[in-house]
Amino acid sequence: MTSGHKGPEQWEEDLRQGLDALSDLGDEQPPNLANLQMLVANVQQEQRRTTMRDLLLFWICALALLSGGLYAVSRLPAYFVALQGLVLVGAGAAWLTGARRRVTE
Amino acid sequence: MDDITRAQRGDQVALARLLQENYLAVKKYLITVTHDRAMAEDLTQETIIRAIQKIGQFSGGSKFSTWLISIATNLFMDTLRRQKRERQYQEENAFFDRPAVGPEPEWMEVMDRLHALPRDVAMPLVLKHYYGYTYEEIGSWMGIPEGTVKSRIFNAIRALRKGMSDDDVRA
Repeated sequence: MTSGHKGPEQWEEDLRQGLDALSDLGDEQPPNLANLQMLVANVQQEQRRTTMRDLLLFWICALALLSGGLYAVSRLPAYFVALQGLVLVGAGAAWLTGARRRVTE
Repeated sequence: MDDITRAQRGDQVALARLLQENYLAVKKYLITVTHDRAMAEDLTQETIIRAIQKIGQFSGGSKFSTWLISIATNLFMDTLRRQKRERQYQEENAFFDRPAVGPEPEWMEVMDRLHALPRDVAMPLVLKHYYGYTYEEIGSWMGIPEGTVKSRIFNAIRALRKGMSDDDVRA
């Protein structure tokens, strides 16, 4: 097959016809409403479960950190102050590195 | 209150109805960009699930179908990236279905050339010239600048036109 006699925009018409044929679904029907409704219910339930699990994990970590901090303040104040200092220096260094990267970009 | 608002407020029937109304359009779109019905089917399912998860984030700034197309495009781009890493896409991708009998239709040559293009070059062309989306929309869905979208479409058109005579291309 040759396309030597086609007009300048013939490719666009060919593309349209080709894609129409390629994506022809015949008499295919979408999934029925009841199945889709069940899928919606399942996905949303799973989503709620994941959110609850993440929240629980967050609160467990937060409580562990808080109790560790309180224990250190009451029993090992020197270690607590040193740790706070380290966290502060680390955060500052991370911020400076990020700022420098943004400037060079 | 329309179905979108109801769906965002937790009405599962309204959301299911919206998805049902747009299901075939999403599937057709994915067939046109993937040229692979099995992959299009899988990606349609993933698009529907992603839409259920993110319905609360739909701003209403575009049509619901356009929002679904943007999700489908993102998912297909992710698939392409994975396949690119594996360096297997071009080798493994099956050729799209040809008509079983009879002479080849006029459009087959253009479709052959379209199929030979990398998917991330062919996709902007299909989105622009078949679906009529803007360069801006295509760029945001594919995660590339507008200028890159334009140049990919330009290159894709040039590749499709190679099959035509020199006179046609110059005209």
